[in-house]
Amino acid sequence: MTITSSIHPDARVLAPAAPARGGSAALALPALLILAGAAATFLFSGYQLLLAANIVAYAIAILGLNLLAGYNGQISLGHGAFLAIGGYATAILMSRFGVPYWLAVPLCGLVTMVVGFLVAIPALRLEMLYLALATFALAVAVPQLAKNKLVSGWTGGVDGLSLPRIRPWSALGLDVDQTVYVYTLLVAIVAFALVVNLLRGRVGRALEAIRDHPVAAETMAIDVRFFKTAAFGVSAFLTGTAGGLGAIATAFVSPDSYAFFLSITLMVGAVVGGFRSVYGALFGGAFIVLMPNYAERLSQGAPWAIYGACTILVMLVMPSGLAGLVRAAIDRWRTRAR
Amino acid sequence: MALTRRTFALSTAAAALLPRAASAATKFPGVTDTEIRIGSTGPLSGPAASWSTVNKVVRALFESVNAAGGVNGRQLKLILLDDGYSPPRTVEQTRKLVEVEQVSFVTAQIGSAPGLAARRYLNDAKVPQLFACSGADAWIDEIRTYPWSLGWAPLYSDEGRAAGKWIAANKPGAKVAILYQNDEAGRGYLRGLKEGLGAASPGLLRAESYESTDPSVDSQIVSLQSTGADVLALSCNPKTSVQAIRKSQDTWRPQMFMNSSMTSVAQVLTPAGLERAKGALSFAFAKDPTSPAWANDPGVRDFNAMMDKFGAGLPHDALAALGASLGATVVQLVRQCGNDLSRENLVKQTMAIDLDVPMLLPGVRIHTTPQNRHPVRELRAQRFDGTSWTLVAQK
Repeated sequence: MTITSSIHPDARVLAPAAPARGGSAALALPALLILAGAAATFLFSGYQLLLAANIVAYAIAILGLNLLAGYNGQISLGHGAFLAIGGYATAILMSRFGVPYWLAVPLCGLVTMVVGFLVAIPALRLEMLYLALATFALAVAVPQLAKNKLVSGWTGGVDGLSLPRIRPWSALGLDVDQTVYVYTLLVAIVAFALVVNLLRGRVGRALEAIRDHPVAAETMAIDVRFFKTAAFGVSAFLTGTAGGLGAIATAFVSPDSYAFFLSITLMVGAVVGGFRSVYGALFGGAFIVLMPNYAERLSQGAPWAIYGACTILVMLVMPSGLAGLVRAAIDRWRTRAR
Repeated sequence: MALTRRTFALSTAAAALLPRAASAATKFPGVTDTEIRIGSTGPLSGPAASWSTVNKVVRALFESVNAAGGVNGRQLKLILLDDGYSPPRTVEQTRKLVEVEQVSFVTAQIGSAPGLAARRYLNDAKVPQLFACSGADAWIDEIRTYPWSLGWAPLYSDEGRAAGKWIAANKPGAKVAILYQNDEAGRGYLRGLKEGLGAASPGLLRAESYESTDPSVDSQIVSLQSTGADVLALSCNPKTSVQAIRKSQDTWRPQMFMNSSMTSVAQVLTPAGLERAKGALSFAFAKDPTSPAWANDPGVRDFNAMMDKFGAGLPHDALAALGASLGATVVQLVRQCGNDLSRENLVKQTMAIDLDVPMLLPGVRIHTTPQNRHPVRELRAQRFDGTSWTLVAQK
C-alpha cells in the first residue's frame, strides 16, 4: 500500500500515447530511413547532395527545437542563435585552430550546450510568451555580436569567414559532396537515436509532464528546474551541432547567414513537420529546404507568404503536422489490417 | 504497406530532386547557336528585396537587346533565382544554376556575404562570377586567389578614399568626424576615408558607429560634435541619414560628405530638409534618373524608354541605373567574345573592356586591363545645391 504502487497505474494512464513499439517492427522504420539516406549518397550528385545535407542538418536543428518546445513546452523563437553559435564555433575552430571538421562539429555542439545552460537559468523564470520574446531577442542579438570589434578578428566581422576545405573520404570512393553528406547523415543517426532513447523512458515522461502540468509534475517529485535546464542544454547541443554541419556544407559563415528570420523558419518547419514528433523533424527539414524551390515556380517573391499560408493550413487541417498525418494513416491501416 | 507509403513519399521527394534530362551537348557550356544562358541570384524575397531591382533591370535590359536581335545572333537568357540574402541559400542556388540550369556564367549576384559564399564553389568549378554587386574590398584584394570572380561598382572604400583625398586637397587642416553603419559598407567607407586622409592633420578625430536596428543616432552625433570637428562624413542607410542630417545641421552645421546610398532627394534629403542638406558633397559614378539635372540627357531618355517597355513596374532610381549599366557591360562582354564563348575567353575578355556606358557619369569610363581588372573605380564629386546634385567641375 505504498504511494508508489498506487501511483504506477495512474502514471501509465497519464503517460503520452507512445506508439506501440514492439521488438523488430520498431527498428524497421529507422532502418529504412537510414537505408534511404545511405542510398542517396550514390543516387544524388553535387547540388542534390548539398540540398540533402542541408535537409538533414535542419532536421537535427528542428529535433532540438521539438525537444525543447514540443516535448518540454518551452517555446523558443531564438534557435537561430544556437545555429549561429554552432556555425561560428565550427568555423573558428577549423580556420583559426586547424581542428578537423569531424572533431569541430561535436565540439561546437558542446560549446552551444554550455550557452544553452546559461540561457536556461533566466529562462526558468519566464513562461510561454515572455520566453518566446526573450529567445527572439537572443536570435536578433547573437549574429550582431559577430560584427563586434572585439571579436571580428576571429569571426571575420561583416564579411564573414570561409571554412577550410574538407578532405574527401577517397578511400571509400567518395567525393567532397558525398563526404559532407555522409558525415551529416552519421551525426543525424546518432542524434536521433540519442533523442529517441531519451524520450522513450523516464526522462521523456518527465519532460512531457512538465509541459502539461508543471505543478503536478513538481508534486510527483520531478525536479522541474533540473529537467527544464537539461532540456535547454540538450536542445542547444543538437541545434549547435546542426549549425556546425550547415557551416561545413556551405563552407562559409557570416552574420547574414543567421538573420532573425531563420528562427521563425525553424519554428514553422517544426510545426509543419509535427511539433511533438521525433521523425517530424525530418519532414520539417525537408519543408524548409525544398518548399522555397517549389514556391519559386508559383511566384519568385513568394516563400514567406507560403510559409505563413502553410503554417495556418497545418494549424487548421493537421495540427500534428505531417508526421501526425503519416502516423494517423499508419494507425488506420493497422486497424484495417486486423 | 505503410512502410511502402513512407518509401513512396521518400522516393517521390527523391525524384523531385533529380535534374531534368541534360540538354543536347554544346561546345561551350550554356551556349547554343541561338542562346546564351546567364545565371544570377538576388534577394527576390525577404527584407532586402528592394535590392533585387538591380537583377530585374539587368533582365529588362537583356530583353530589350533580345528584341533588337540579340548579340551576334544569340538571345541573352537571364535565369534569376531567389536567395533571400542568405549565403547558404546563395550557395544552393548558385550550384543549381551551374549544375541544373547549366548556365555559361553567373553575373550580378547581390550582396557581399552571398557573393563571397558562392565565390569558392564558382572558382573550383571554373565558372565565371562576373560583376558581383558588392563593394567589399575582397573582390579586388583577393582577385589573384579567385581569378574567376570580379566585382563591378566602385568599392565602399573607394568612396571613403575619394572623400578623404578631396578633404586633404581642398580643406587642409580640416577636423573630420564620421558616423557609419556597422556593416561592410560603413566599415569599408571608414577604412577608405582614413587612407584618403593619409597624413593630413589633424585628420579624423573620431569615428562613431551605429546598428541598423538602433532607433536614433542623436547620441552619436552629439558625441561627434563635442570633438569640435568641422567636417562630418556619413555612411548611413536612408532612415538614419534623415536623423543624422537633421541633428547635425541643428546647431553644429559641419560640412557634410554623404555616401551614395544617402543621396536620394525624394527619400532622404526632402524629409531631412533640403535647406539643411545644401552644400553637402558626395561621390557618385552613375546618373540619378530622378535628378532634374539629367532630364534631357539622351542616355537617361533611352534608359527611361527601355524601362517603360521592358521593366514595367520597376522604379527608375539609382539601383535601376546600376542595373542598366551593369547589364550593358555584360552585353558588351558577350559581343566582344564573338563566337568564342568559352568560359576562359569570357574571363579573358573582361580584362579588355573599353566602354562608355550611357548611364554612367561623364568622365567615368569602363577601361579594364590585366593589371586593373575592376570595371568601375572612378567617382566624381557632386554638390547638393538645394534642389539637385550638380557635378563639381573636374580639374
